Amino acid sequence: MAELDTSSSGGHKGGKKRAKKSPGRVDLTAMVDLGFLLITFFMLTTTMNKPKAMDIVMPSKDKILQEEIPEVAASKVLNLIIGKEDKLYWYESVDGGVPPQMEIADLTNPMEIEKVIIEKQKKVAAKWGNANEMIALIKTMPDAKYKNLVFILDEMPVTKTGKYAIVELAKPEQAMVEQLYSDPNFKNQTEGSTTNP
Amino acid sequence: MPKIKIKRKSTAIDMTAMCDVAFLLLTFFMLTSKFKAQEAVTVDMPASRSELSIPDKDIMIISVDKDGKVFFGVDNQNVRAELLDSMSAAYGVTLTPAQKKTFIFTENFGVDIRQLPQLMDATNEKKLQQFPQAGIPMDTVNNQLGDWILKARYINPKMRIAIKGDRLTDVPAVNRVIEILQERKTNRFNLITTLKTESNK
Repeated sequence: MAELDTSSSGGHKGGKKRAKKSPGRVDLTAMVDLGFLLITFFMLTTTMNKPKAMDIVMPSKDKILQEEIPEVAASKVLNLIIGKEDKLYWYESVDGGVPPQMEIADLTNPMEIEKVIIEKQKKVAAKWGNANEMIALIKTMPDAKYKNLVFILDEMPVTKTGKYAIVELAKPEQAMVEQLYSDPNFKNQTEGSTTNP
Repeated sequence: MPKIKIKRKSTAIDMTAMCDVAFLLLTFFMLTSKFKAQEAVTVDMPASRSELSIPDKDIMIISVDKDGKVFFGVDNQNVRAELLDSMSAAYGVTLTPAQKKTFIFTENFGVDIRQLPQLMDATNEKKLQQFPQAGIPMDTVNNQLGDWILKARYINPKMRIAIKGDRLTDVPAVNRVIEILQERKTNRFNLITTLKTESNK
């Protein structure tokens, strides 16, 4: 039963009749092997790579609307600047326009980024009563990688940051980050921080 | 002592049912799943934790490869045909019926519209891979990408827009695409990512 009946095997050539041992059955093991191999192939190549999407809403570029941009308190704002080599340069805006000190975080370590955002949320909650008041401004250096942008955007719902925007990098900020690129002291510091998370 | 009965074991196992099941499953997978479309560019997408699925139809995909070159594609073949007609009329490019037919079956492309007839002549896969696709022009003087987007949305207003960027592409290229979308008053779109799993975080 494991095999197909082939007892009616005909087709003798040359008239020479050989006394057949008559196996009567065909082994289906190889066929089953092949079947499962193909199933595995189809499962892996087709259904597994279903892409996902991220919803992005950008502000309108209309001129009339640009005049209606609300002013926000500087202490609510967290600036996240994505730089090269998976580094995040961040600072908290301060009132009065004092050039703030930038700090560096490692973008390959989600915990570190979440810590930065959550600490700012706590500060905002202490001052304004609600952590949702925090506004994250995401900026990118010209040499930033797209995966890092997606990573930061992905962190926003994780840290329950409702207010965030992708904005253009200001010239002084760019100059500050470029300065940090060339500063050997800062480089060592970040390397040290990546080794002990 | 009673005689110990030794069961006679059959060496051959019945494989018929197993074979049936295997091929049934095989047929199922072949019929239900969709093959990955032949695309002009391979884009290694970044991972995210977003679980939103991209829609199957009425979608326009703007791919940005790792060198910042931009490719454009719409899913619906009728829209593709209409879009090609209106774009070639606007730019004064004429395509033969055969070239048009090839375009309808092209998933996405990344050339200047003036090069489109040459690209559509490269019918077989080998020629297609050799054809240098330099990306769709999108500077302010010659903003063809903007026109493709505008015309596609004019033909099908329900069309959703998705940006498929490579992990390693520089952000300014993607920002430029976003800027063009904003200029065309499209402020809502999707970024295509793969689902982040524990193994690739």
